[in-house]
Amino acid sequence: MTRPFYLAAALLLLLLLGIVSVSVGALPIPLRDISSALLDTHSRFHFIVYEVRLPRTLVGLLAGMGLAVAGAILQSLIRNPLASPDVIGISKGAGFAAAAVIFLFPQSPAYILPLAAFGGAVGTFLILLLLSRRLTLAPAALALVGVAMGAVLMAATQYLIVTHPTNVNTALLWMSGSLWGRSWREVISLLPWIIVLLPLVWGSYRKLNIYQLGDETITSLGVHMTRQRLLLLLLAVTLAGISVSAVGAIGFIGLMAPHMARRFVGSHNQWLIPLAALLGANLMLLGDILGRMLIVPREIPVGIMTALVGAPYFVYLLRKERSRRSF
Amino acid sequence: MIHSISTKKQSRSRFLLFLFLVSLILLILGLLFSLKWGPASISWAELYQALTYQHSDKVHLYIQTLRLPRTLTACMVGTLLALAGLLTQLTTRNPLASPHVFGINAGASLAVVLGLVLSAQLSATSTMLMAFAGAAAGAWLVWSLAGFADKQPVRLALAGITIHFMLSSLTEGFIILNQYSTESMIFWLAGSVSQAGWTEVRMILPFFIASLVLLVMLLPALRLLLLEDEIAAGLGQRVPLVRALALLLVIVMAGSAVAVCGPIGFVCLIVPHIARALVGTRLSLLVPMTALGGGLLLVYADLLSRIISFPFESPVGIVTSAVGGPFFIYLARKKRRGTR
Repeated sequence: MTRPFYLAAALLLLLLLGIVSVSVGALPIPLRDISSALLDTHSRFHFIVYEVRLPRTLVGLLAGMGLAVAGAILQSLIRNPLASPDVIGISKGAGFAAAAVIFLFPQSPAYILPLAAFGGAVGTFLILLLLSRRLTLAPAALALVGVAMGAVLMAATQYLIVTHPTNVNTALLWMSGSLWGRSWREVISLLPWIIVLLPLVWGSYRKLNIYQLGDETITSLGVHMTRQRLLLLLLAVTLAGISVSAVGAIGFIGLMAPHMARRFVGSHNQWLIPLAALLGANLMLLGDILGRMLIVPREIPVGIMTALVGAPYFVYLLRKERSRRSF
Repeated sequence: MIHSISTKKQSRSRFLLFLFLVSLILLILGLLFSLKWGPASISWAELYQALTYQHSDKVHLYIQTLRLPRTLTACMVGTLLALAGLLTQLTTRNPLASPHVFGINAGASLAVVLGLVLSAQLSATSTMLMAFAGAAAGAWLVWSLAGFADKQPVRLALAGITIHFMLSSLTEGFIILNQYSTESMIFWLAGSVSQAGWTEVRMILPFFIASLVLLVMLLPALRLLLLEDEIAAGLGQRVPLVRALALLLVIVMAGSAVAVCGPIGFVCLIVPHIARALVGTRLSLLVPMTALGGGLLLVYADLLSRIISFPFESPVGIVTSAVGGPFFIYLARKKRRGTR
């Protein structure tokens, strides 16, 4: 099987899942009515499809791509298959900032929340930079510093939750990540970033490929190691930050999608990044569809579905990895 | 020459004696303050009366049914967690190892939350059993994934953290789906001793005593674990057996602590490190120092957790994470030369 074939297959699957995601829900819409519902403003399904399901699907798709590509960058840079936006504490930082807004300023307008989340992600990253001596730390130690920061931020979030018990459910929903109630506003806030940043990341696939070699090799190849790494990391943080700010701290997509992609096309980033993006979008939509279908009038937040689906797969993957080479 | 060595030895043993005395005194002071300090102010005289004779005064009731069991639980849980951390670090020869980092705590809390979601009324024994099963499952997951890769401590720690994330996001999921008991569960999940009463003390006491006795019995064998595996085996040590026993002990210790107080983070990581920095690696000194330090840390953290947003309680796990996180960062940075 060739690599373009995998890309095409993932794209096809994404299209399929997109259609299913528009059609299923509390009010199922027959497949043949979807196109008419979209185009004909007088159709009885028009409002649901156009105002609810379609933006929701698009937000899921874009955020899935963002998280997956962020994960792919981090895994190449940190040279560890376990790196992801969740692990190095960026998602936790966004979650903490969001919780702070929800609990401390419950009256603030709705557009503040994503801004705060993005600020939290970037702020966490800046502290990480300071603590890791501007990234001169060994990559794995960098990840550990991120883990510890995540723990501290988690403690701060828990403190907020415990001291303000009235909004617990909102905060929990946000912290585990959900696509519920997402509208065109989120689509518009995500779309430009993804359109600009994804090609930018893809364009630097050569550098990312080099980073998979050891530090000494990189330096001897004449690459300015630290500055490039900083730039690429900043890209990853921005992607993760805007995704989290739109959908909440959805875990495991940033971890899993690059892994799955690597199994199909190997670790060359020119193939890995697009496939990871597509798979991330697929995973997100799949999780959301399952979450809407399982207990019908209620919804399981997509973040929990990705953990439920992703965790066993991830364990399986790690075991396989271990039997192949000690990681 | 000989004279100077002997005086050095003398001053060292004097230092150790001093150290143990000071920590013992600090622990006793902490226990007393923990009994005295709280939303209801109590004088020393009243405290003394409440502790010495049974009296049906309101204040005495406070102390006897709320603060005394709570303080005792904090002390025991701290000791158990710290010793579990020490054992994990010894058996894996990994300075970053601890039940918290290794998914044992997260596994136990997932199992307990699962039990609470499935049946609202969970008896104390079945909570304990659930916690043990969860702790064992979490440990099995991490160790089967990463193995005893003592040459790559950082990678092992990363694998453990990933499993930890996985388990705790599953736990979060169960909590969201079960909206009714959210608040108390979140408090428990952050790690808290505030709910502990005499039932909890009775629950944890047998495990506390049993695991301490077992640990003392295992001590000579553990000493050989400090050597290389081949040398230990050559000296007639059954290395896999000792390791398995030590891990079992870790699971019992961490599992019972989590069942009572929730996953209190980082105690198990910091205390053994501090103890090692103070008394060195001799196990006959290190084990008691770690035990003392664990009790000390948790009792004071519990005191602090009552002060942070007075008069409301905060979970003690928040305090230990806030202290332990930076310490973990320090460790990760210090180890940077050994990582690659």
